[in-house]
Amino acid sequence: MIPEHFMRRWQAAGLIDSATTERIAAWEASHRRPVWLWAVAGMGALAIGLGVMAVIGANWEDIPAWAKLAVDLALNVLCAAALFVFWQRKRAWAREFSALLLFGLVLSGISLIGQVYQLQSPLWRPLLLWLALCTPFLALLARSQLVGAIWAVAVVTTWFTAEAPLRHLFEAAGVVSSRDGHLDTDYFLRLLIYLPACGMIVVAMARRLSPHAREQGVFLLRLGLVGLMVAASLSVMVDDQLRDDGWLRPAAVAAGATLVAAASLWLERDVTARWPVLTLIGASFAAWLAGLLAVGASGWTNEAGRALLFIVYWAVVGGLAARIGQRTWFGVAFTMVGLRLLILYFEAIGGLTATGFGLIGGGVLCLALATAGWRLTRGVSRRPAKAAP
Amino acid sequence: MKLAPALAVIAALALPIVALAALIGQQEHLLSGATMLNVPVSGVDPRDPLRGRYIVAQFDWDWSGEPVAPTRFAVVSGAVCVLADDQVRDQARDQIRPRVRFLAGWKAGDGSGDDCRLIIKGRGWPKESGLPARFAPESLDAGGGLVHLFVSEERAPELERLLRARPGSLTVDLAVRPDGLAAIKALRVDGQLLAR
Repeated sequence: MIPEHFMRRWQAAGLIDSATTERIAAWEASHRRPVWLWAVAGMGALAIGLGVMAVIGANWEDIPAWAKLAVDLALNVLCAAALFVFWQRKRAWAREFSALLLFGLVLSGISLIGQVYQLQSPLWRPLLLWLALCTPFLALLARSQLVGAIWAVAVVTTWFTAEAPLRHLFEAAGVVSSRDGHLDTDYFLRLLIYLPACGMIVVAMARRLSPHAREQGVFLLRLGLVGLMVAASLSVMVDDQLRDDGWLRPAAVAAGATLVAAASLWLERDVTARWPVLTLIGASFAAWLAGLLAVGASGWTNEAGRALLFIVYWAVVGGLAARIGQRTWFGVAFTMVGLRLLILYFEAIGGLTATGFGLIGGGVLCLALATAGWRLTRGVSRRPAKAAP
Repeated sequence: MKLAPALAVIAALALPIVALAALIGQQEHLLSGATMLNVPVSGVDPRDPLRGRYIVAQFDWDWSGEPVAPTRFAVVSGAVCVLADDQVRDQARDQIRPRVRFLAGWKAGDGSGDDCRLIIKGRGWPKESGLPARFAPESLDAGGGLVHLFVSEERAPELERLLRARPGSLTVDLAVRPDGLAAIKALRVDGQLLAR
């Protein structure tokens, strides 16, 4: 259905001739999959799975603890054995799926042990144990972007659930200070968001060294860079009221993490792929630091300065995206700038938002931004198909 | 197939399974060589967002010497000494509560005193206005001296009502090792085994 629609469009636009259209249609017909049958089969499998879970759930209290633990361990062993066989036989998708399944089974095993033995601990501890047990086999066997993304989500979740011990650690190391027993959270939270992004870049670059896991490394690098952009944007946007003169140590820690992330780029031999990432890392650190230094400032100059900083940062991101032919990221950067300008407009006119003229002005600004964005995006040349990152 | 990568993969795959088995073994070992102590629990705030998965409670000790903190909200690490004469029925409450004395700064290997029949390592919180002194064994503390008791989803509301209506009716069997570490062996309602 969908290929036919596009073929008609492309033929009407003169991009493909009728012979090509026929050949594509014949190929599609011979490779067509029975989607509806698959959907029905999938629903059946889902119903069976839910039914089994419901039966087990209803009788959970009646199943002896040793039986639960034995079944869980047996499932882990079976899944690990299957993963080993799939790895040996080079069956990529089966290997990725079983790696993901084992990743989940290990977590369920830790949770089950906690439930059976009534163990208590903060959430970050079982999550950290889970990552420590699973990261070795994931690093050796899993190569897909999907598994990489799920691992990254697990790492970031663990990092943020460990906020309390990290706070104590940073405080004990003198990175952030506390006053009257209360932490200067403005600095700490900025670090908490910034550091994992730098760490993800280092992991991604190490992952790219393996030829089998290069695609996963590329994906993790993108996640790390997105994390940096989020950290820099939040640092610039969030307007704290706390004031403290101890900005030097958090800034030094962030600078150290930035240097390590930047140095890891030298693991990549391709010099042309290095400079845009380096520029983005540098710009993100500069914006993050500027946001940190502005903590506690007040008045309209502070608000205007933060808005200008945000716009400049995203203009740099947009400029970089344009240089390396990343149209999507150029569009994202332009949208961020446009949204900030719109917010500035509404902040500036204040109560006039509710008036007809205020809304007309906002609408005109939106249309002008959309037109400018459309023209600028069309002007960005597409990147070569194999360009990195 | 090369031997070294295969061995590395086997080791990586064996790691989580061996670790899970070791965790189970460690808990079984903890329970097997331990002394049992039955402690009543009292309810805290039943409006836990995860109600149904577990209930939140705190151990109800009969204090002979409470924890004393240098500042407000401070936590004191140490242990409680379960006194030899702890199995005396509290007539006012009509229940048996372990009579304990807090030992600030106690560490494994430290002496305890002749009147202690058990030592439980953990953290203590001093009495505050409206809140009694609290103590939770180190391995069971879910924060602030509270413990999470995993119970079935069906029985959780009933047990919460019981905690409010008849304090002391829900008790926990604590398995206490000679080094002061404790684990929950079982839950009891009016002395009857509820769940392991």
